[in-house]
Amino acid sequence: MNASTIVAAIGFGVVTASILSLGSVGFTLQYGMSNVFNLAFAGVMGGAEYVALAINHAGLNIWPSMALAALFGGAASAALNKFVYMPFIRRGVKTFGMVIITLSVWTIIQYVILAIVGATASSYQLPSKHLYVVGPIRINGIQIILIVIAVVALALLEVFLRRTLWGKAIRGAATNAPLARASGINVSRIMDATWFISGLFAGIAGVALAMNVASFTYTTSGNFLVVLVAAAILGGVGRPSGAMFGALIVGIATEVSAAIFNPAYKDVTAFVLLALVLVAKPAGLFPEAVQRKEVVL
Amino acid sequence: MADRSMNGSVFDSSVRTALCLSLTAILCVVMSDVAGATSRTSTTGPLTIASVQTFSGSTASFGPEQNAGCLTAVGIINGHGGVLHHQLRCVPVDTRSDVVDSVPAVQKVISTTKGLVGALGPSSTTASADVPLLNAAHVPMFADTGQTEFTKKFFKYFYRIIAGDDSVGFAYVIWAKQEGFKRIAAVYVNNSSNEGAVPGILAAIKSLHLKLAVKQAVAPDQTSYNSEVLALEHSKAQVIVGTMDPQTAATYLTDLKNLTGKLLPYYSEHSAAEPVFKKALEGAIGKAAFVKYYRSIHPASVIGGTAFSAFKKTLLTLSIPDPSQWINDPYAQGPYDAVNYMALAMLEAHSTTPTVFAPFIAQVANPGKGKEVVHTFSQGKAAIAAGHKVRYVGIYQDVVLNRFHDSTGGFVVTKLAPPATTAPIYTISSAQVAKVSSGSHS
Repeated sequence: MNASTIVAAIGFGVVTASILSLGSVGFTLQYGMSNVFNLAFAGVMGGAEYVALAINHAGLNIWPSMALAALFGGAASAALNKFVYMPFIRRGVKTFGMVIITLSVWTIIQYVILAIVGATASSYQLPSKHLYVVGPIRINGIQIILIVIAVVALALLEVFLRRTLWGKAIRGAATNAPLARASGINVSRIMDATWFISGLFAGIAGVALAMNVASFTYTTSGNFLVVLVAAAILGGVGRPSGAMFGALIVGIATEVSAAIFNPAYKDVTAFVLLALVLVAKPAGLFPEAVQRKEVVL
Repeated sequence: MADRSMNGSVFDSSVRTALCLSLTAILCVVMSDVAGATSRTSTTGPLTIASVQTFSGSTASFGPEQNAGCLTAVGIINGHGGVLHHQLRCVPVDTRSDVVDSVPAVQKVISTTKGLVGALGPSSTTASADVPLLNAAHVPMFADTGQTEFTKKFFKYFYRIIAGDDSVGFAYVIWAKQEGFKRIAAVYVNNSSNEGAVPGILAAIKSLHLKLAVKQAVAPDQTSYNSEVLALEHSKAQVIVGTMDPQTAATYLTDLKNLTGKLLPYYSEHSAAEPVFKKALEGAIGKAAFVKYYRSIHPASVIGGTAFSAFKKTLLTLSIPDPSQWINDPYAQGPYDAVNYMALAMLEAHSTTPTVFAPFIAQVANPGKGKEVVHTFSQGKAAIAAGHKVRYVGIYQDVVLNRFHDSTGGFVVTKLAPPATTAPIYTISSAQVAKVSSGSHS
């Protein structure tokens, strides 16, 4: 095993991390705001994958297809929260009960997709992939664009959360919803906005994932969910910047481990890492400022 | 510790009680088993073939594929008056690729289905759990698994006309050598469905004096396989052999193409015409590359002839989505043959009771002196009615069931002949496989 192989694996890891970070940031944003551990996030990703497929096969380039799929993801995510989850929360369903409900919703979405598209595999019509070689690192044009999209999206989110009134309202409501409400913040609207934004990330992540795996089915996003959640927990669930670092660590660790050890245990590396970090820092690398116990109404 | 054998009264009473309880329990089990078997088979209604397969989950395409074969056979059989005045039907049993789901599903079909006379499947992901259940319930099954654990383990009601995974491994390497390759990469997904061929691959490489370039067990459904592809490139492999699920194979080969700018020939047991596999790989690496680089090595089935024509004609009349996609699919053709074996065995046995007709399955499948060779159910039914013993030779070729009810069979190497059919390009006989596996090949 030489150094160039490790460097090349780190390069591959950055590509994986860029897709992972889009998903884990969206996932953690939902949790940070509402304390709903939304496993149906993968369902929204899956739905967006097929919306992009329909648009792409209708003749539109993959990038505008991705943008439209992201909008679908945002709308679906906001609707899911408002019309499915909130009624349960209003009826007093607690955190664990909500996990089961999100699991049920995910299963339903998966089977609806199966009923519509079938068990067959699908692929996007992608532009040709030019390979760029920088030392031992090899990366194609589409992967570079995916990294750029991830970096720009995550930077915009950080700026939005820290520099805008809406962003500050989201952070305020996420930290203490009753206090935010008492301060005149319309928490319900903030909640809708947060779920919409996280849905945008789910949509982009779903399409990016489907592009990178080349061929996808209705189960593809679900298979990705476990690693995505691991990255979010590693970074400190509820903290978008933490999820970014979590994704980077998981992405690079899995690729480097595949290069060094048996690639069959690629996923195991991520979970061993997660376990080690949680032993040292039980709330993740960047824990949320305020730990809430229950779902936010 | 008290010596209970010294205390006669305690020993006697406890043993008597235990014996009584045991006998009662055994009697209950036997009675329920007999009652169950009777209730399943003494009906005058339709006879049921359970299609135990994955209809949802990552291998959800296996179910419709197998069911297409079942429905075709049942369509023909019912069109010719059924079996002993019974119509046949196929009932899907969804294993969801998981024993957690398959065991209750199989138990349910066993306990609630009247006229259950046979099963197609299960496949590798659930076979270890489902086969003993079906066997204990005396349900003859034609399993869709190559797992080597069934190669030498006897289950009275287990039958298999697809080759064991170990034999498939030999076939891959035999074809690689035939093509002139010397450095072989074994790349496979690390689960029970896909690892079975590996011992055969390794043994054949040794026996045929070739070189193992790299052996990679890859995790399924990853975002990318770039690191694995890099290792493959460094190994200077000339050909990839081994079984990967469609998504994993598509991602792996796409990464190979993107990273190295070229593809390597790839052999696996997925039929080139298998809809999910074909669509996944064509979408990922392109149609031309799929035709050029992919070779399927699967149980020898014949495209053409009486058996195939009957299958094709009826299949195309079925009310299922796009029946034409299954015409050249060996994993739809095998179940078709399996139903015919069972139906003809019932006719030979003059019984629809599985415990009675099961021994006749091997008789119908295997060659024998004085037997009339038939290629369709209707031919078989007519021959049996005329008092002849029959041997059914269906779409699958070279089927001979051994004492484990297992047929090593032969293999056919096929490539995709666009748009959706396959073209055979080489045949590997069971004798060739046996020769290499015994190490006698030079």
